[in-house]
Amino acid sequence: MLTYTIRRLILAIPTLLFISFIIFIIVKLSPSDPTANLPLTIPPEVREQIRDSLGVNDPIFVQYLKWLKLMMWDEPLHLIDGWFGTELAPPDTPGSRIISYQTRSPVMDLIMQRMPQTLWVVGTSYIVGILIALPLGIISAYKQYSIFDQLGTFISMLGFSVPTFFTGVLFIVIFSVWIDQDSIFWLPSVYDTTLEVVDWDTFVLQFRQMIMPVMVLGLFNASQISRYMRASMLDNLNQDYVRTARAKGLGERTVVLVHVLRNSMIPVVTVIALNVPAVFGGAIITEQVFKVNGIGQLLIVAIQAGDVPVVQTVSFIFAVLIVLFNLFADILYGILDPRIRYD
Amino acid sequence: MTRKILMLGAAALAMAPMAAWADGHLARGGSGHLNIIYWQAPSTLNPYLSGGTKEVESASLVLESLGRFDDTGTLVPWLAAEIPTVENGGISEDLTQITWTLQEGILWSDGSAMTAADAVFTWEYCTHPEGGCAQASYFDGVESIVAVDDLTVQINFDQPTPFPYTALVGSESPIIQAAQFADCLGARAPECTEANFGPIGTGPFVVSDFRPNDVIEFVANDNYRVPDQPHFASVTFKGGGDATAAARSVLETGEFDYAWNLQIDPTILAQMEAQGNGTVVTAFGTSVERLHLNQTDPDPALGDLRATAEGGAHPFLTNPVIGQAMSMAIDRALLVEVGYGAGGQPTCNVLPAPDLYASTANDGCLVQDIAGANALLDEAGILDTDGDGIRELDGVPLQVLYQTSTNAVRQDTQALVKQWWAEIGIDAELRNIDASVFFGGDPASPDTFQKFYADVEMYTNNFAGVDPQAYMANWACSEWPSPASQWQGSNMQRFCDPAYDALIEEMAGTADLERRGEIARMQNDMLVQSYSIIPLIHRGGVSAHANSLGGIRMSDWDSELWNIAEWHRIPE
Repeated sequence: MLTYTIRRLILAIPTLLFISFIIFIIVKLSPSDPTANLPLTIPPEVREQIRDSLGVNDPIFVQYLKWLKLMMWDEPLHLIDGWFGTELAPPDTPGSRIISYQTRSPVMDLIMQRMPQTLWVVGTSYIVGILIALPLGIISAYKQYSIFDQLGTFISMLGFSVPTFFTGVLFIVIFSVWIDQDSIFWLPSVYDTTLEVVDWDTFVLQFRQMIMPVMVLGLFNASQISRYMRASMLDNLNQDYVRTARAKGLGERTVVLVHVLRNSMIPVVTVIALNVPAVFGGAIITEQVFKVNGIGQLLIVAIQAGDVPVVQTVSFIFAVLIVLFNLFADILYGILDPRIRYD
Repeated sequence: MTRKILMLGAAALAMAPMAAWADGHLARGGSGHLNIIYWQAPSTLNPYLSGGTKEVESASLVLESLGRFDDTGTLVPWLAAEIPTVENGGISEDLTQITWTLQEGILWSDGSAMTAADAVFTWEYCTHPEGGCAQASYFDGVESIVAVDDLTVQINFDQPTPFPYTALVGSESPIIQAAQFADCLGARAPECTEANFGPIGTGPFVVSDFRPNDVIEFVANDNYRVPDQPHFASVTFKGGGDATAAARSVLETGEFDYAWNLQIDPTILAQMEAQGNGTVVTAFGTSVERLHLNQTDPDPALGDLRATAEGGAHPFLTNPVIGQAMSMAIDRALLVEVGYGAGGQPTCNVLPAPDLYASTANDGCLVQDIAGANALLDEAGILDTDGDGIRELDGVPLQVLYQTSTNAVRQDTQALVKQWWAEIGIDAELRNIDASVFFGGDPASPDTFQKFYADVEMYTNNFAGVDPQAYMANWACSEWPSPASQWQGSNMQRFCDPAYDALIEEMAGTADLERRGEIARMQNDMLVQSYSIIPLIHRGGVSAHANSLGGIRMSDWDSELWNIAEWHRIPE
């Protein structure tokens, strides 16, 4: 298992290099200009100076290699310094950090600032989604074609096919507009990213402002995962070992929750693990609707503003996460299912 | 009896401000907390590094300039004691020098004194060749800025400058603190993240927390020069989302007090306003949505010579009769009703404001006249000879490619205009291009508004400040975008008239305001009557504020938040 892991990790390096190059080329070749969104009152000569000062006019390979060196060497050092208080990174000079075109500040700082919001909101919604999905899937499969199953299927189809920009706005209209502001059922439509949880009152505020985005995303996640759970349970319920377990005289509870569930979880856990990078990626639309300024919002604003360094760095971090969690899912698979061995 | 009522009324009027004083809403910080939402979030608080409206306006809470434009477009002294003029000796007779005197006792928010040296430093900062300063054009023609003494700033121009109120005037070129930015010149500018995200200013508020593209927290500046201002103790400046959501958060849910730039469907905005929580406010500056009619030939068959002088004149759009008919066929009032609501007014001028410069010679276009347009074309012998519903000029059918940026309102406008033009025998093919490409100016892209590989294009342009000299000079013959200039240039429709160029010359040498107004109106009329440009809509800024918010004097000439120190909570 260890050799397998090491082999996979080494193989990941050329993969990631290739991905980083492709991302760079795609972003660079797309017609985007960091000065495009400035007011027309700013004359073209000034725009050209701005582009020069941003390094947009450097040859494309110079830009790529500069970025790669910073991404692979300097930025990780800054990250380590930030975490452990060491001073490994060279002092700031022009060109020692990946600088965002829009904010003229280090991209990594922006990402670190956005990460907590995204992890809180999108991460919680993922957990909520799983917590709803697992029981829903299990019961639906066990009582196949019952009223509960039909209802569950209907709700998950609805949750899966109605886009979050619709459910999000619907929730806002119901809970923020129609319901009176003084009512305890009223929920804020704008997420306050500056809120710090220090006591009970601020915790309640944080909880209230998280309800809507978490539920909108949670419903979406739940409908997806519950379908996997149900299908996987159905596969296993008809297996011979289930009949054997029942013949041995085991209770229904033990049969379903121990024998069937454990075996059915194998593919579901893989699906859950493979979707974790998406949590870090944020939920572009939901973040936009509730103004949760997380990673997704950072990415979309950067794309609109032609902010190449941010788009590139954020996409590259996603790529790293996807590669890592793929590996993680494969290893988990081996642990959950003793029949699978990689060596 | 009547007298008694009058006296009571007078007494009540006299008492009103005192009542406000009594409960402290008009004391410094007495109005509590203010929530502002800008649906495009500021990326930095250094307006010299960005140039975007969202950055300039958020920074205007902190950074100030010598003079500002109020809601009527009048220049008012801000950090300066008075506005220098030739009459009061502040501007030299030869118009090459302006001398500003600062108010005494102005402090930065860190407690140190602001001096003329800070103004000089600001000029050095923005004109550093490696800095990429977004507001560099404000310092065009400035030869030097000198600190005569602590309170006297002297700006020297390299030629006579009849309108010298550009450098260090208005929200786009504020004074920054020399001590804070001393190590941030040129290429080092982006390294000063702390300074760029939290500039020290003389304004009513101080940054307490800045999160790029997300939210800014401000608190009142203890060192602000007006003792009872700002009335608000703290401000949250939230960014993100979209215009509709921002409007909703002020007009429907009441979570925010002020929302900026609400260019949304006017009927939706009116419905929201009808809920009674807030008020929609507008301010009109110089923005005009217009059509440019390409005077050069954009025929793809010309290859590299498309839309250039060498490629030749346009086969029919150089004929003013056709342009005039196209203009007459448009119902501008309906365009306003459909797409702009309170945020637009029909206009027939490229230069609609300030009042001094606004011509009235072209107002006939305000009424749609399709029959008149048809008659005009018939009379000029431009007829539909082959019966396909499209007129021809010298055998060339009047078919135009009409392009603009992708934007719901613009696409609605396009559809309506296409229909009206069809009624006068002109066929339009519609095209829309993503705004970042259209306005992007990439010389390699065929879709930019400068290249103008189409017959008609539509967008909005304006100028900052109140003086139209530089703006009207956009239509000089030398301003044609062309391959030689990397397609840079501001004369989009490729208009050229030596008489117009002569007026530009004359404007540059005229200080008399009346005469400047006259020249600007003549320039406007020449442009409009050449029918190479068809003004459609005078566009204003649309914002909304909660009914409990008082003191708002929205200005499109400066930052919308220019008088935020005076904003206050109206006691219920």
